[in-house]
Amino acid sequence: MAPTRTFNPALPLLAFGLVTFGLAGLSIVDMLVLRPYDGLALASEAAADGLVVREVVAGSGAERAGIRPGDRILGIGRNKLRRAGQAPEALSRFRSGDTVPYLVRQEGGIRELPVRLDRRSFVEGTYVYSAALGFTFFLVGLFVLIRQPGLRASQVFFMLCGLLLLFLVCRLRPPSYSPVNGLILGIGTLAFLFLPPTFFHFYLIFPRPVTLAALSRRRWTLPLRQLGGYAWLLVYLVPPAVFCAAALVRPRRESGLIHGAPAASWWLLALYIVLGLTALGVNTRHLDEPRERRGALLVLAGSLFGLVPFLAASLVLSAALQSRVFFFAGVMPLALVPITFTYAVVRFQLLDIRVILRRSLLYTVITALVTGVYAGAVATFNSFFRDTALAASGYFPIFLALAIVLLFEPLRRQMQELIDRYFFAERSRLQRAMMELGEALTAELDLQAVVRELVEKLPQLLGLRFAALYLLRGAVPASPRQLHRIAGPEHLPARLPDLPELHGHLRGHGSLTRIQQLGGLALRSPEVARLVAELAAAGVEAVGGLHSPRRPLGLVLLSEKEGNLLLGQEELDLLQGLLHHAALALETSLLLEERTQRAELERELEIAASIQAQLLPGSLKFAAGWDVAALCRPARIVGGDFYAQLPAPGGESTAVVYGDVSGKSVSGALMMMAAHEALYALAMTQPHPSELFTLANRRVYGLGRRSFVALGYFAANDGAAAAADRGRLTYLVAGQPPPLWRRRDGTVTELPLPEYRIPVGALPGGTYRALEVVVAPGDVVLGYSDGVTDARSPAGEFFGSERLQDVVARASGDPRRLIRDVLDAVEAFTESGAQFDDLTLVAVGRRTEDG
Amino acid sequence: MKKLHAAALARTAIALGAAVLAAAGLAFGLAYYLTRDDRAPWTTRSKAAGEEFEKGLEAFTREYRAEAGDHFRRALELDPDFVAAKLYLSWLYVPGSPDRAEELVAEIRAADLEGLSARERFLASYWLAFHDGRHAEAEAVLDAFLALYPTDPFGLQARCERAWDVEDWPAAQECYERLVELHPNRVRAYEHLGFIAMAQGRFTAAEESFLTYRYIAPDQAQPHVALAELLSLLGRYREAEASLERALAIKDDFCPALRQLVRVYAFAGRHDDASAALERMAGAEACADLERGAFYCRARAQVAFFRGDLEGAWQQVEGDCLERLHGFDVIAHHVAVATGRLAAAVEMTRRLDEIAAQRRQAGPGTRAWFAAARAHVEGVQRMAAGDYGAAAELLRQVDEGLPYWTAELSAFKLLNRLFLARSLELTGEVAEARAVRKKLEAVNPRFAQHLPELDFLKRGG
Repeated sequence: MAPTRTFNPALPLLAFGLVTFGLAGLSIVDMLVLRPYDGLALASEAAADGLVVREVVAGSGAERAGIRPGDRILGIGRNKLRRAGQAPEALSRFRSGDTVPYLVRQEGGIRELPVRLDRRSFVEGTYVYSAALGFTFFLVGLFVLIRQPGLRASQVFFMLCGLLLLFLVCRLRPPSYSPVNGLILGIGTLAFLFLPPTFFHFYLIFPRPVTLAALSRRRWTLPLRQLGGYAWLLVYLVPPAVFCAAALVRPRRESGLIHGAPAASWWLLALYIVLGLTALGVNTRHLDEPRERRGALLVLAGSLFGLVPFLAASLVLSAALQSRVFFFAGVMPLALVPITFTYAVVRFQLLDIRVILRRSLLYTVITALVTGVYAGAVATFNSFFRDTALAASGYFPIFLALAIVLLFEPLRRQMQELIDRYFFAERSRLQRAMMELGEALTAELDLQAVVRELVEKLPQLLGLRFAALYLLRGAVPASPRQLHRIAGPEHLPARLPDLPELHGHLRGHGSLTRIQQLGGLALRSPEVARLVAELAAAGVEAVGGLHSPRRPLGLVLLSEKEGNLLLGQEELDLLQGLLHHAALALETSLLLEERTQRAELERELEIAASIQAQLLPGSLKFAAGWDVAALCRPARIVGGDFYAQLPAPGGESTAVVYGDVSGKSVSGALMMMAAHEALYALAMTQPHPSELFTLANRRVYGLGRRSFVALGYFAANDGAAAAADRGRLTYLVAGQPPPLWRRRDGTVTELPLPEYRIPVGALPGGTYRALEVVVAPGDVVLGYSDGVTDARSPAGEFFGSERLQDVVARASGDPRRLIRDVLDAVEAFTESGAQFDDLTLVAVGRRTEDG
Repeated sequence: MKKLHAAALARTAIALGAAVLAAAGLAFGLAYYLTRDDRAPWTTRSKAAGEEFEKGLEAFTREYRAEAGDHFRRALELDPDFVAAKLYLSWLYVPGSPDRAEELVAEIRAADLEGLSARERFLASYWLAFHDGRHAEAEAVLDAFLALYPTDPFGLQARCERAWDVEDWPAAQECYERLVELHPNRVRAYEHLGFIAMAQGRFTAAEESFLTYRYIAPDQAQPHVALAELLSLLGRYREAEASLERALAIKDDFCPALRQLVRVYAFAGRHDDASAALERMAGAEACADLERGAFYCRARAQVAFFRGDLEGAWQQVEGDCLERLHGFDVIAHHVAVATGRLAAAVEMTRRLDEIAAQRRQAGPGTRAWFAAARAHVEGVQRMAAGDYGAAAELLRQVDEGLPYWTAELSAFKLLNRLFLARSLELTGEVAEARAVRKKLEAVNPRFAQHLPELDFLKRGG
């Protein structure tokens, strides 16, 4: 599955920010252009009785002339005006410093007022403050958006800051007769219209959408929830709708306007602000984490003390008095909002933003401040005692210097402690906790304990929704290695493919990376792309590689934090260090586990070997007049070869069987035991070897292990048999090499083999046929497994059947000695090197008359 | 299926809308092309002449006639064939230099009007028709021009002036209001609107118009005088005096200001100042023409009248002065009645009837004035005869029929109202008398303050 392309709202927001910044900049630049300026802001729409004065800048020529908001301007510079657009042209004929006659309609009738035109100055206190405040908002918003671009709260906050910038810079700007004035004021009014819902929206979801979640559970919100995204659209459209309605209902009632907008819009702003503050209060109350709660409480306090005066002074008083006198007094405390917000972000990491403040820089600032304070104190002190006898004393400067020396350092230290306490406490706590976790991991040898530390403690420490650990395991030989979920939530895949390129990438990028940062690798590798998509869908935010110096071990998957917060860069840095600790701990514990398992396996093999050895009979019995010897040497501790004495129904058996199981080691041993037990059990009721093998075939095939057993069978008549039958040897071969018949004279031949000799358990059907040969006294018949002929010299040459026949020909006719000779020959041939296969020899020989 | 149908309908509607818009645009463009006048509004070979002419127009619009004349003359020097400059200059020359005006009219008549802009053609044709007394043709030219250019300020102004001249005040008011709506700096419109409002008793509106007039043309004497007329009617004599002083500061021999100043002083009871102002006026060369209209003897009679010197007033008007006044003057009539010269008063009434008969063709305002004057003198005579009921009836007719037209006629109206109140009191209709006095004081609370006590008013009281 290709990675899904998702819409990133941060990009259009940044575009909005760019436009916002551009418009605010245009407003500022326009302010800097020198033009004759009367200090009047005229409503764009002229009333029937003249041009409406919307605002009069304090201290301006218009104010000095006695023009007040609500007055009507009828003429400027001896020109009768009908439209506000004619004012710039009328003013353009004058220069700063000119006194221009204005024809004004006031309460007492119309009169001519002389207005001295000033040079419009950008450095007007109120506007500089408003503009600085606006840009501060904007920068704070931009910082938050850049740090948390995917977070809805930071997106809305940026929008809020952009609108505040436009409101403060464009809407509250001093009047201008420039051509862009209308555009800028219009933009400012638009910002004013969208400011209330944005404000409400932000405080509803800040720092977490607790109130929103609570509201979504209420029944009465069902119609709104059914509207989905349109509900927000409604919230955002109410202020413009009210504005339009007010404009339609009272188009000419300028007295109802406050600063150019209908009073209804301002009251709506107040309502939204009250709702927003209430939402923030509820959010704050229900936050789980004390750190977040403290931060949100601080923002709430800042918002209350910043916005309530704004509402009271800029709205209520302005509306009641129809005056702008108190407007600035209301705007001034607005600075508390960005200040408290910034402090809360820095101090309490709200919106999960970690701000790295260089401690040394802060210390330097503090030192400079303390020095400044002391310098000021010294100057004040000197000034205060300047003409006194104390100052004239020669001891005065000495005591002063001593006092400074004694007081400077304690005060500086106090300030530094304050900084540590207020700015670095949380960071230090996290660092310390991570360090402790790392140490705990390193000290841990138990794999499960390491897993617990990683998967359980880490989420608690960082506030993650989950963490998961995958380790590399290759369960089945020849199957591809996979990452197995060792711990973690069930909704994550149980297995993940082991992708070397992913390990390489992680190793090259400090072990830990955000899932989005794997995009480049995903482009190059479809497997990685699939994996990334799968993990992203499962809510994984970061992937960490666990690598020991010699091999990759596995992966750690981390979710985002509670409340959809992303991991901060500082946390990622700390996590990288922690992952190195974890990798070492895992490697140690895995090695320990492997060693333990190996030791246990070896021990179990030894036990299995002893059990197997005990299965091999200590001595074999054969028919009277016959000697029998056997040897079984497994290639490993346990093997698949065996020989056994078969029981006979109702009497003592003289039949000997030897076998070679496909498969080695434990599995071979288990098969051997199963075959041994099957033969043994069947032989209790079935004396005929052909039937016995047929039944054994069914039984072994029925085990379903797809293993088989090559068997050989020897039985002979005893001495009580008729003379003609005394040397008769019954043999049956199923998958084993043909037994060798060594006659007394040393000639060796292979016994003839039946046409059907498939190993037992190889196929479901099939019948076996026993053959007979009459063996003369002194003759020996040797049955052997392919481990004898397949033995290899160090040069890789097989021992082979010819070499075996030579050895048998040269060997003694005694079965025991024959076996030893063969074994000696094999060992000599292999030079006692590694044995490749189990090796079994069974020899039966007919005694000579002399015994 | 329904959706498909709706989509097809929407497409059809859009296509139709686009077609209608395109057709409308085409028609509009065609109409514009056919009716456009791509020539400059003023036809001249010289750019400098054009600029001078524009400056002259600006001054003319603000009633700075001398300044406007200078600019027009310079424009004509720069381009001797500049018809529009000739037009305006001829208008300016009419009162002072009629010969020069005639020369210019002849030049205009000889000019090729086809080469001029539509506005110039209109102005020339209109002026020539008027000049020749072809008023109906002038009206037709004006109508035709305004039909094509309904917002042209020159056409509108001509229409307004015409309504003003024929004393069609409602039409004049409507026209001037439209003119200032479109061209807010036409000062003459504000003056006329002010007088119309004043006549209708809308004194606040009148004051606003005069203030606007003064605001646009502050360095012109007339706006101050116009405002002073209103102020003196309203009894705000100090303000009126200040306004007139400002006018005289601009032009120290401005006769309307001096005349108004005499009246203001007389009404305010400042008889010495009134006499001094009258002498100042008599010494002003610019006011010499006024003597032809027996202004000074009449003015001196008024000053004496207000001083209470009725005999002195009679001496001022009797004989030659009264003859030069065509045998009638309101103050002279009152003085005659008050001093028992009833025969003289009756004679004056007879002469008034003769004048009214001669002016039958005058505008409605003039005719109304004569009718009012006739009723007033008769009413006064009835009062003197002790027939207060008949007097009250006549004086009531005057009060209802006469507007507050200029300061002088407004003073007459107020005087009539005073007599009406007195006659009502004498007939015992106290309540109505009180209402009339209240009405009088609402306009000018100080009007009766400095009037002489006339015997015929006192009689029976």
